[in-house]
Amino acid sequence: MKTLVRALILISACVGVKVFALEPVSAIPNMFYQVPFLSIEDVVLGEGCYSLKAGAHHLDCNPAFLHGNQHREVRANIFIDKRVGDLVDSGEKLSDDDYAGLINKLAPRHEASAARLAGSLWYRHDWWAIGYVPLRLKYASNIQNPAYPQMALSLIRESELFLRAGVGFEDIPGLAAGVNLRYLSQKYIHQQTALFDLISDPSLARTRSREVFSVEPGLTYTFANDTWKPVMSLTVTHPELNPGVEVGFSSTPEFAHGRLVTATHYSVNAPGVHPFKRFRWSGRYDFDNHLALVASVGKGDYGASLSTAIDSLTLGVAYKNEELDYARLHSKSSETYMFEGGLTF
Amino acid sequence: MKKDFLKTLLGACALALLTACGQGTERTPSAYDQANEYIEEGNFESAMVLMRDQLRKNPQDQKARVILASAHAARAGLYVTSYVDLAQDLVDSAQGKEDAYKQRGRVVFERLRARAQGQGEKNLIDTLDDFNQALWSISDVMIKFEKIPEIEKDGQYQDVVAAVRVLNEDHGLYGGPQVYRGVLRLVLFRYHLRHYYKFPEIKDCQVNLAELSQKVESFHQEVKGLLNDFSGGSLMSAQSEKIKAFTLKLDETFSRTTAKMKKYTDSGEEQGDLSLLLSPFGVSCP
Repeated sequence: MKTLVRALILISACVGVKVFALEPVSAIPNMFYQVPFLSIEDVVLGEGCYSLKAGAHHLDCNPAFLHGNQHREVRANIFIDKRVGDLVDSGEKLSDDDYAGLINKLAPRHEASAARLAGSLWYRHDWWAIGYVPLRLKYASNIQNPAYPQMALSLIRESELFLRAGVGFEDIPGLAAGVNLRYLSQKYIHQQTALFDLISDPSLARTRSREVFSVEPGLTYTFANDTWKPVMSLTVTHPELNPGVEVGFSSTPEFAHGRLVTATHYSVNAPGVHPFKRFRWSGRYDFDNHLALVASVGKGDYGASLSTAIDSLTLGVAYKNEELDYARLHSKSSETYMFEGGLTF
Repeated sequence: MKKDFLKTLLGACALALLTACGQGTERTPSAYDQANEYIEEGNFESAMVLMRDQLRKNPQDQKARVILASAHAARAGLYVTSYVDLAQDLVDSAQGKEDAYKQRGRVVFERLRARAQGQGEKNLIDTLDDFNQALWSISDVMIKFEKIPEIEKDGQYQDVVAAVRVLNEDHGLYGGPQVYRGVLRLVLFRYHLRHYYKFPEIKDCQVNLAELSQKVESFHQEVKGLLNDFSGGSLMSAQSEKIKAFTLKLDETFSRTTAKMKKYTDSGEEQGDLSLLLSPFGVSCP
C-alpha cells in the first residue's frame, strides 16, 4: 500500500499541467483555489492549513501530516455561514439554471461578499483517511461602478470523494510524503461581466459542470532535534488548473508546552493574488484536547475560530474577514460568522 | 533504491515549482478598471478625462464609451439599483395592451361616439380615441414610472442628455450598451413628460390641435426610439421580436393618430372642442 502511495506521489508531482481554463475574473478571489475545506477551522486558516498540522478531530489539508498519526476516528460535520439562507437559495438557483434569479438577486447589492458551507463525513485510520463531502458551496461576488455595473460572480456547488495518506521514509528521518486523491463533481458560474450585457443576453450567464480527478501531493520535513519541532511543508494543489504551490514553516514554541503551533505560509503560485496577500500567519492554541483556538492573519484577511468537543459532540464558531479585490485598485471587505456542529466516534 | 526515489521526487517537486512560478502573473489594472474605480469613488471628472482620452486614441472603443456615459449618469445620480428591474421587465414583458384597451378604454369612446353630433365631432372623437389607444399601448412603460429614477435639477438632466449623446456617437451600438441607452432615454422620457408633454392649454374647451399634433408626434418618436433600444439591445431573438412587434403596432397607432389630426387640421379646424369629452362626466371647461 505504501509503495502504491509513493508511486502516486511521484506521478502526481509530474502532472502539474494546466488542462482546464477559467475565464479571467479579477474582482473576487478564485474560489476554485480554495482549500478543500471540511470544517470552519479549514476556512479560517485558508491556505495556511497546508502548513499547520490539524488539531484533534480535524483532518490535515497537507496529507503528509497524516504520517505518524495513530488515531482512528469517524467524524460527521456540517458548518454554515451567517448567509446560509442566501447561500442555499443561490445554490438552488444554480441547480435550476436560474440565471435571471441569480443576477436579480445580486444586482441591487452594492457590496462584495464571500460565503461557504459544507457537510462532510470522513474516517481516519492512522496514516490514511477517506471521506465524502455531499455538499460544499463556495460563493463570492463583487460589483463595481454602480452606474453601469460590472459584476463578478463565482458560485460553485460541488461534492467530493477523497482519499488522503501520508508515509515516512526510514532513510531520511523527518521526511514525510502524502497524497490527496480527490474526485470532484462541480456545477458552477464563474464570470465577470457587465450587468446590461447579461440583461441583453441572459445566455452569457451559463452554468457549467465538470468532473475532476486530481492528485495532490504533499511533503513535510520535521527537524526532530530542535526543541521547537520546526516543520517545513510543501503541497501542490489543483493540478488541473495552474497548479497551486503552497509552502510553509511551522513550529511549536517550547515556552507554550506544546499547546501552541504557529505557521508562516506562502502561496507560491496564486494566479491574480497580490504577492503580499500570499503570505499568511496561522496559529492554533490547544487549551486541552477539548478546546482549541485557531487564528490566521494575511494582508486584508483575518479570522479566528473556537472549537470544542464534548464527548462525541463537536461544536465550533468562527469569524472571518476577507478583502475582495477589484483589479487590485480598490478592495472591499466581506465579513462573516460561521457555526459548525458534528459528531465524532 | 529509496534514495533514488527521493531524488526523483524532490526533482519533480522542484520542476513543478519552477513550472508553476511563471504562471501566477499579475493582471495589470487597465484604464477601464481605473475609470470604474474613479466612478466608485465619486471622482466622475477623472473618469471622464480618462475615457475621453481613450476614445481619442480609438473612437471605436465601445467599452470606453459606455464607461464615459456611465460617469455622466453617475454624476446625475443614476445608479443601477434603481432601475435594474425595470430594464429586465421591459425586455422580458413589453407587449401590447390591445385586449385591456378593448375591455375598458374603448367603452368610453363608444359612448361618446353615440352622443356625437355631426362629422366634425365624430372625427375628433376618432382622433382622440386613437391617441388614447396609443397611450394604452405604452401603459406598461407608464406603470413602471415609479421605478424610473427621477431627475429634478437641470444639471442632472444635462448629464443624462450628455450620456445619451456619448452613446449616440457610436452608430454600431448593440447589446448591453444599447439597453443601457434605452434606460437612460426612459429617464429623459419621464423628465419630458413632466416638463414638455403637458396637455396644451384649454380655454373655453378649445384645444390647439396643431400644437397637440406636434407633441403627439414628438412623443411618438421618443417612445419609438427607446423601444428600439430595448428591441435592438436584446440579443435573445424571442424577446427582441416581441418588442419589435410591439413597436410596430405602436408605430401604426401613432401614425394613424397624427394622420387623423393632420386631416382634421387640414380641413381648416385649428381648435378642437373638448366639451363633448368632458360634459358626460359633469366637468366644465375652464
